[in-house]
Amino acid sequence: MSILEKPLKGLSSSEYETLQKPLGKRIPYPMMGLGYVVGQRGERKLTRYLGVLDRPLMVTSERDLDEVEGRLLRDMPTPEMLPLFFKVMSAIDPQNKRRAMLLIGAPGAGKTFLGELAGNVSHEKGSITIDCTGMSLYELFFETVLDFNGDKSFYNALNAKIEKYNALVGDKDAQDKVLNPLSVDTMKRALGEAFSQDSGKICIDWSRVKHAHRDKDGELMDSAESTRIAREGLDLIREKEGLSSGAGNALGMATQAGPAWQAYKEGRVLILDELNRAKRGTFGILHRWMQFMIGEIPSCRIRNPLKEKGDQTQAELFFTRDEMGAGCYVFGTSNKLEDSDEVLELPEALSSRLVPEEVPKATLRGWQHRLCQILTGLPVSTIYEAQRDVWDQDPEAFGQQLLEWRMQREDREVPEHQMNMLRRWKDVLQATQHLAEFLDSAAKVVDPDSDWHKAGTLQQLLDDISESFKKEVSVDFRKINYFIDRAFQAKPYVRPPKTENGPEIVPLIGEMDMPETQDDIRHKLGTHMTYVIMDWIIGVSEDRGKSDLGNQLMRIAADCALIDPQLVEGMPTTRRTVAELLDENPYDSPDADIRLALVRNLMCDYLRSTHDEVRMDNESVMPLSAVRRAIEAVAGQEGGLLVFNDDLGSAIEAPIQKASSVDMTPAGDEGKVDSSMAPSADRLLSKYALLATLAAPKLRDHNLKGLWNDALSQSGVTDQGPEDLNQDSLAIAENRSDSGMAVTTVMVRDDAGAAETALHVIWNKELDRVLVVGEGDISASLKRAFNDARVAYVDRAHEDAEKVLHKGLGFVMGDSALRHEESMRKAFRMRNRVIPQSFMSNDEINLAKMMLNENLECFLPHYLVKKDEADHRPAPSL
Amino acid sequence: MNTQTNHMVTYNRAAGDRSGAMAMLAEGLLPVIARKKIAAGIPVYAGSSFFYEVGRGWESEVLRTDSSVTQARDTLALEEAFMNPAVKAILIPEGSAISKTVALRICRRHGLGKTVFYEVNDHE
Repeated sequence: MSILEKPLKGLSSSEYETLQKPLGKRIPYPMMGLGYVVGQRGERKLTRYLGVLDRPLMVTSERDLDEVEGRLLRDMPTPEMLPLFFKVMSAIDPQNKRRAMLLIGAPGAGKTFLGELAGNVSHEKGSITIDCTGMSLYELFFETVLDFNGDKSFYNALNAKIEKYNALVGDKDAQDKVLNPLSVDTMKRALGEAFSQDSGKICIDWSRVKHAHRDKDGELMDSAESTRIAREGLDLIREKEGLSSGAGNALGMATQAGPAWQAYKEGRVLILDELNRAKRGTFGILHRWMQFMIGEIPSCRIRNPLKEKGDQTQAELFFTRDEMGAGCYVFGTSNKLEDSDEVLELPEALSSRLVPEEVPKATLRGWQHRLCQILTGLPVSTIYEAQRDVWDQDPEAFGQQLLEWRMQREDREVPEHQMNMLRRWKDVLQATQHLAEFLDSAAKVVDPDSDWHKAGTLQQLLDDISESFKKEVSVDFRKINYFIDRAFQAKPYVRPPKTENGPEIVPLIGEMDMPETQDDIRHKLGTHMTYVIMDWIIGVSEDRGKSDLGNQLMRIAADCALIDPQLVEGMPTTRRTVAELLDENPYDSPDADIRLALVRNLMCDYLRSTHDEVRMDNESVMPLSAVRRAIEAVAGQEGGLLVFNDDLGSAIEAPIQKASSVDMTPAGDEGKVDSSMAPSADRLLSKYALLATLAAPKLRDHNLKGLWNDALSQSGVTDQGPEDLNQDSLAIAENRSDSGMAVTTVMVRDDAGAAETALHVIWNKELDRVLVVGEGDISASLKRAFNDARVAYVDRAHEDAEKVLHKGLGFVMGDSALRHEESMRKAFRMRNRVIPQSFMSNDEINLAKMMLNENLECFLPHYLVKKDEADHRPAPSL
Repeated sequence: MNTQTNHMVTYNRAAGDRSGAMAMLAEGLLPVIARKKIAAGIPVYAGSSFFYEVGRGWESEVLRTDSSVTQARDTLALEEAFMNPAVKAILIPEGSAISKTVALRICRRHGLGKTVFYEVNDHE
């Protein structure tokens, strides 16, 4: 027997002690405090502040402390609701005489959640939640239901028939043989809203039968009437389907004590959800009972209005303090009168007894808290903010602690993506802050009663927004689930038309964002959530002819890093978008195995590009253990290049090989380039050999460093310019500029293996972004890997090369593009020139045009060569 | 898990049958692997429950034989499973008389969070 079922007077002091769980004693539990902010001149302002409980909150629960902590960490109410949470948890203490509370608030504010949380944490069986919408409140005390246990064989047989019927979907004749079509029609009529048919399959929600019918005014019928209709129909079906036991009796119905009695006897929390939407004229029955629940009277009697003479049912329920289960508590929840036309004003006698507690409106913190909770299963933002000074001392330990708390006494199968998100908690914190800002702002924009509208800052939108529009598109916490659910659904990927003079259309979701299965959307959750939010903006604005509203929401979306401001203002930015923050990126994964798997996949793709015969799966071609060994072996190596071994015979043994380079830049006293010394094309590294490593963790940075040397400054051919004007350009050309920018050109073998080809590389070390300009396309898988490794590739031969290159330059240079354009161009010209000199001098051609010029020549080539080849001649600097 | 492992060791010593022991170990690990594979997907958050759609295959076969998973073939059984605090995971097998919509509605009605596996036939 549950301790909470015992009446308070029957609880021993040790049982009472057992029920008291000190929340905040072992773990730092966030709570809102009340205090003064003291200004510099000593002035004080009273405010709420977020901190951690310094003295535990005693939570009444028959669960153990580990479980209480785990549940209350995961399901922690939002910061603005924490003061109310404190009241609610304190209120359910069995010693508290007042056993009822009314929570009032906007739809989606979390009223029901708070009541359920108290009920689920305290009692092993959880709370009893009753949706009172349209319901006669008499049903809380007496309800009529079908007697499933008395007629078990009939219900089992009918359910079995339904299963058979469902299995034959698509074969109407066969289905008709299992269940007579008349029976199906009768079922529909008799079971009303408890009956549903989905793609031809029948489903009966049996516990809904008691409230399955409505009267002509649309109000729910009483359970007695609804159950009677159901029983009559089921009796007919029993006859028609031959499921009668032969006795000929009608199926059983029973009037039983309702949920109010069940909560009273079992000592559970009862939630009367949407109490002020209950059936008009039925509130009267609650008055005496509420007096009893709040401790005004020691007992109360509720008479059964359905009791007829000779009837076996109970005539009355007698509630008394001495018998009430210690855990019994009632939470009523109500919407505010202004939130809906269907909401009734609670009778004064009732509301004055219940003393409504108002659930506060969501704040920015609340939005972020809910977003974190849904994405990770923990309110990371609140836990972090409550004592960030402590967590900042050891962020890694905080990450580990989050993982432990997520799993503390968790019975459910936790989705893997939540754990992955927790491992990237810093990104999630940043992304959810942006999303919270957007949702908070959007909620204010679409609400004509919000502070923003009252302040008159959005006057231009008043024509677009009305009260009815607000109700239709209102933004509350439920929107978060809506956006996330939709993010995981399929989306149309549409190729835009290419017309000569038409506008350029860039799809919001591209080929690389479309995973093979819907489940794989989790890897690109940020991109897909962004798409869904953008789709929502267009849906509530442009699609309804509300352009001003659309523009406003788009501006907010840009401010909140949902979209790149360049889409709005034409300016590139270095800020990471929500998509970048939330998308899973194997390149940056904190999980070493995921990074190794990426390297292995790149290796295998590379091997397959040179060996058609490799058809096995990647693990068979290259076990992860071999890759791990290879990466460990080269860790810490300085200088040179590291590339994938393309020799099938030795690849598993030595998956990574060294490569080197030969810079033709003459040494100071040599004068000019001796082209006879240049390595032949067959001795060069292939283009793919280098590119594949630029998408691989560890190898990327190692090889990027290896592409630059100090040959230019040693050569004397590069002029520092008057007063060292070219100094920064030279530093950029040698990857030692304070700006973090570097540009160079290296020569490799084209993938056809016939000739040398140039790769122009720009590296922005501050943003850690790379741009490679080369000749010829690269594979889709490499493009995808480049995307994750922040490498952009431009094919000079592509018909849209100029456009793509401009985008690529914007990507790699970020908002420093204008500042560095001149130095970058000069640095690029230290190895390259356009010949023959056109009517426009090299000084006048911008970097993009120069990189794409068909007469571009690399006059100081830097060759990347296979290691064994490099050994034949001295490499000047690597 | 511990029970399974100890059982395996005893079996191994008694019979000296390495392959049999390995098979038993594999059998013990299967539910763990199946659940891990299912949790790699995305559940619907229905009330406090996680609702996973599971394609018909070896994973759902493993769940059928897993004693810690309660099967529900109709809504009466599903309600009963939800009301039982000892039940943590529920399998709604493909072909049962519970539609996804109604299953989700029932999950939302109950505050106690469970894991619900809803088996679907991907080929339908």
